[in-house]
Amino acid sequence: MKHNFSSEDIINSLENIQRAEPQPFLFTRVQARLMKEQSRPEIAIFRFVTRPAFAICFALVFLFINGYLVNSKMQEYQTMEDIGQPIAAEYVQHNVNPYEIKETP
Amino acid sequence: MNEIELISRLKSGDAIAFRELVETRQSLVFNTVIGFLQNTEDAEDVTQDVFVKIFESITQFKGESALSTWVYRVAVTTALEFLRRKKRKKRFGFLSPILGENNELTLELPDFHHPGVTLDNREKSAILFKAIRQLPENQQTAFVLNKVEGLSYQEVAEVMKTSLSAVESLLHRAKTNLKDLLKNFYNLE
Repeated sequence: MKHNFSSEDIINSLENIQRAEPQPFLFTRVQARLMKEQSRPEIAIFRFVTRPAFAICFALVFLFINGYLVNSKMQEYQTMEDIGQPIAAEYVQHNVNPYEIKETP
Repeated sequence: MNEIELISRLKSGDAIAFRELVETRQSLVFNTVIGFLQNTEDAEDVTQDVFVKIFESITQFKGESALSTWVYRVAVTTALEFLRRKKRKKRFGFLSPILGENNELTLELPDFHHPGVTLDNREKSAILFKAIRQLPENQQTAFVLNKVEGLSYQEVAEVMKTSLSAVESLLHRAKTNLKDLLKNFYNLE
């Protein structure tokens, strides 16, 4: 496309530009949109869920549950070890190999 | 109502204060948004979105800048989000038929004539707006705020949360890019 303007002319074409104005009664339309949004429960739920405070609380609860589960598993393991050690020791004591050849004097 | 009183009343959800905010800042928001979107209907829609966002997030306004600066920020962010959404839709356009939802051709944007441009600059500004669409977001923001909305470099820097020298550099690069675009696409000198 060929034009008769210079690029400088085009770049300067916004000089003395006036502000564009929206259609009248913008406030009424904004108010209607606000009321429409507030009446939709899914938007309210979404807005609540996406709040930073909710996300931080959710992450903290998640970490707490994880910590609790890991801790309880460790304790369980410790208890098993405590019970298992004497049994194992006893087992070792009475461990008799049936294939062991006992040399009789 | 002074600005401090207006902000505190807005934070308490006062409808009269919100009405005052909309009525005093509507042309500021609409003119900024239309500079990015280059479409009157979309700009009307996004302007409403901006005020809804302002109403909902005014409690997060800490008063570190002027209220108008914050309003400009919300307007710029919302307009850029709208453009990104539109571009994403366009990128996946091959999945939908060539006809849009309302059976309108959606391939090429028409020339945009800003309502505030003088008659003798109408044609030239339409070419310029087409070239502005090709600029990177930060250059586009600096250029629109400075040239369309008429903000000073300092005010642009405050809206963009950057330094004065960064704005100068952005505007310089925007002009250079625009000149290149105009040369390449329109064979201009």
